[in-house]
Amino acid sequence: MMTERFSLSTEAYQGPLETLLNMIEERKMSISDISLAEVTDAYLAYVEKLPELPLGETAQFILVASTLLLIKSRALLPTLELSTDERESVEELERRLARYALIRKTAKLLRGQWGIHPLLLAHRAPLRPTVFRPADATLATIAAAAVRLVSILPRPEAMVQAAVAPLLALEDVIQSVRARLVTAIRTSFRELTKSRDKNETIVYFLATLELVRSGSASVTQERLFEDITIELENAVAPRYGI
Amino acid sequence: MPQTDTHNLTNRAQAFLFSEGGTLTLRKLCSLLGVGDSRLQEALVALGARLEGTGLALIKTDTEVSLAVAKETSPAIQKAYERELSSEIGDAGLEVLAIVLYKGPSTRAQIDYIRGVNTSWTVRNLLSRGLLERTGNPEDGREYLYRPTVELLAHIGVRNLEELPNRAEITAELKAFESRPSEPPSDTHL
Repeated sequence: MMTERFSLSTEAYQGPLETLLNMIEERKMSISDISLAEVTDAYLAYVEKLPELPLGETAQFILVASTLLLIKSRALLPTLELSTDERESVEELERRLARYALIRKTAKLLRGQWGIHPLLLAHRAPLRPTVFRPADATLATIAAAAVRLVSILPRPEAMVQAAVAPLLALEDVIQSVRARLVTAIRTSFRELTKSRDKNETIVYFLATLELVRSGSASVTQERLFEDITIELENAVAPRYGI
Repeated sequence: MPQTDTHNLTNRAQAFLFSEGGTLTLRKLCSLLGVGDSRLQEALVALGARLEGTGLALIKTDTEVSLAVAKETSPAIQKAYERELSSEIGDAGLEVLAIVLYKGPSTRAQIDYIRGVNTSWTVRNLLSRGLLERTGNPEDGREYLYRPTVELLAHIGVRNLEELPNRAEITAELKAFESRPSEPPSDTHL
């Protein structure tokens, strides 16, 4: 019982005007005293079988029923005089029915174009949450920052020069150390490299190692980090001469 | 007003509507543009005309305005997005919409009286679907007026109330009912 009442109060149901209009239209009649008198009995029978409705709604059905009874009585007893109030309520019912019929017709018209060719609204693009807001950044300040950044980058030319800085060739150094040994028989590593920079010293060291490995020279070092003495191993071999 | 001024105002109105990407109230747009209602109306008429044939349209109710995809272009967009527009609506809902569209802003009591039945559930449903909006009734603070939204006009494919089918004829007939003397006051609840 409770659920029934709930479903009735939440769903659109057929009210008295709609019921009446349906009955008139079923009989293919137009709204008039005659058609209303004609459907009175059917309407009363319908009201009797009404399910339980909220009190206010039931009252509307009964109000319309009483007006219908007036119309029916007048149809049956042409001599019946209606009071002004009664006549007005009859006119009002007819007027409301006619207007409701118009609204119903209009609703059908709307149904015909309901969602057929909708004009589509923009989906509102959601704003992305901003983590960083570049408050004072303008195109000009960004461009200036870019110029500054470029100016502190290493110059490409300088990098090319560094890459091709001439180094002593190991081959040449071996030749020159060997020539020196041929004339001097013995020399010291410090003597050899005293006017050389670090990179060149490394090349001289490699050249010395190479001479030792090939058996052309021997080296001695008294103590760690002391000077290295280089001697010609093959002092008699003149083919290494100039 | 010089023509360039109106042109300028129209541009700004269009830009605000684009930037909003949705419905703006006329009042809000007036304050954004810093003009009065009559100048705004002028600009919106110009904007509506300008958008003709561009794939976009301007939808306008008595209180709101919005840019939308026009009728000619919307099928392509719809197809592309394949959006499920839940367009089911009952007879009761359509009747309420018909009243509000053709008769004009109405109170619940007026709608109930015309339909002969309590419509509170139907009206609430239409409100929650964004097809109706509720505003205070300037004539009576105790009740609300229900009016059509931009979304409602968009859904039935009209840019303004004048484009409603058989608008002139139906509103005239409804007016004729109003003018009869036996119409009860608006707060008569059926």
